[in-house]
Amino acid sequence: MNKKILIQDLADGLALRKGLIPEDAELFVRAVFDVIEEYLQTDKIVKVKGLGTFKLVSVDSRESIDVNTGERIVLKEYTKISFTPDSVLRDSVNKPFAQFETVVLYEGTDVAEMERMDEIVIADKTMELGGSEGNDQFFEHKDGLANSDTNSSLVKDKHVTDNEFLIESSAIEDSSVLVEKGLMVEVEEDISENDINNVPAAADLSHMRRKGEEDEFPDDTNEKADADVISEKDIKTEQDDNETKFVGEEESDVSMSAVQGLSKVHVDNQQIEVQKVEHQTVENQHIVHVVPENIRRRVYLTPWMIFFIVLLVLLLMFISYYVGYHHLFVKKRVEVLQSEITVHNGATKDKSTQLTLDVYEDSVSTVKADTVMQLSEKERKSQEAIDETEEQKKYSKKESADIRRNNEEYPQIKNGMYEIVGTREEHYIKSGETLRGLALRYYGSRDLATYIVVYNSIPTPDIVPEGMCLKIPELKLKGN
Amino acid sequence: MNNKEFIAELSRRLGYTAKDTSSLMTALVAKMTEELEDENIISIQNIGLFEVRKKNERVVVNPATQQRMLVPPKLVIGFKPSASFKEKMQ
Repeated sequence: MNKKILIQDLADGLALRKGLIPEDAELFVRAVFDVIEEYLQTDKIVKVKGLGTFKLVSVDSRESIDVNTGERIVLKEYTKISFTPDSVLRDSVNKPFAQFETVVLYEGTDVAEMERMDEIVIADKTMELGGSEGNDQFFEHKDGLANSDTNSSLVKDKHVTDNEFLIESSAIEDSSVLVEKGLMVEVEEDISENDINNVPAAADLSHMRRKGEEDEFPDDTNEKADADVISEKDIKTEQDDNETKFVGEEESDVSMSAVQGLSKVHVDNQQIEVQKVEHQTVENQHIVHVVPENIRRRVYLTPWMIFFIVLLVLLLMFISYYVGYHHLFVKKRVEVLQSEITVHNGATKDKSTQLTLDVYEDSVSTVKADTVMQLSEKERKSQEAIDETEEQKKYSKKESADIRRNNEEYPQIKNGMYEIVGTREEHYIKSGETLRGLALRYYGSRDLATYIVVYNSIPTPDIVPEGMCLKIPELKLKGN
Repeated sequence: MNNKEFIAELSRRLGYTAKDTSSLMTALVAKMTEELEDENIISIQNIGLFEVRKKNERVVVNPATQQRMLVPPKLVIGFKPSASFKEKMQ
């Protein structure tokens, strides 16, 4: 690719191809181009087969304007050397793109529109970039959040064994979300209030820390009480105005967690406290930042809405079960019972098939199979009767009567187009045969395989064992 | 000057038979074609460069019918004569 080939290389290639001495080959190549050069000068045109045509084209003198000075100048006449490649060479070079053809564009296709779309996409991207630069504050806020999260996760890492503490740290995370919410309600007006609220909290925390360093156990309870008092106070103020509610909760949470964390984790007390203070300060910083409106709405909706939607869906499912589809499920139960019977039948039938394998084309075996089938029919009938007595309350009498009538002679497909009126033939399944294939052979339609399935009460229509004796039912169009 | 004259001139200069010259010429052209297919640049001193350039697809309009057509991209051979060659041809 993009290698530079010189006369030398051409000569080497030629020597290899034709078995020449390299010197001769080089001489030949040079001679070729010398001849081209010379005869171009004299004849103005040289045609070389397989390569192309070299031509001299004279360009007349013409007037032009000097781009720099703007003066009118006259360009001298000159001769241009043109080279037109031979069609063979041209085609072989263009091989990679040979499959393309010139396409007529109809009026519907608008290339300019596509280009414009591209431009819009690019413009959007630049807008996004610009927007992000403009919203530095918002991003700082986000960063702050991330920091607080990492802080709490650090704490987590250090005290994995302490489960309660873990819960507390998660509570902190929750509270940070709450802080966001509270902020979102009314941020700008609350800044001063938040500051006032947060300052005592911070003070409390530092207070706690000092005490915690001196002696842990006795003071902790006091601190707890203190924290409770603070939180109570906060709650009182919450009732007065909604805006401070979340912030108050958050503070109480944080202070509580701080207290409990102190009481439970003694090993790295100072570290945690430091991190907590950092956490607190980070959160205080958040309060200063203003959150854009659209973010507010989104965060406000998510957690509870999802919960309610899930509840609603579950409710709908229950309603639909009890109102609409109840009878369907019950029917399925009957089918399950029937399939149990058929499994029973299948077991007996397997025995019979074993027998039939022993004496393959003996008619006695088919008689046996028939008697087995009849037996199974009787069994089913009796089972059906039991079922009916069991489930009588649940069905209408009409339905049960239907089922009974259908099962009287031969199993039927309810709502099916055809009726099973008897056995047409018996068929032993060979390897590679499918029920659908059999249906195609006997009835001319694959869809009628279900009749074979029903008539032989096959529990697994997808897997039919080789050598199984199938009774192909005689079908009659219903209503005739 | 057509191909026949070209071969005759070459064989006269080098002392080969016209048949040999012709077969050698075919081999040389085949070699050049091969190199150009690989998108290599053939540079011949005092003559110029043979190179393969890609032309992008483009939309052309038939001025008579205003019908627009999309011409596919293609690879073409470009020949760039060297300065000395141009000078000689003036």
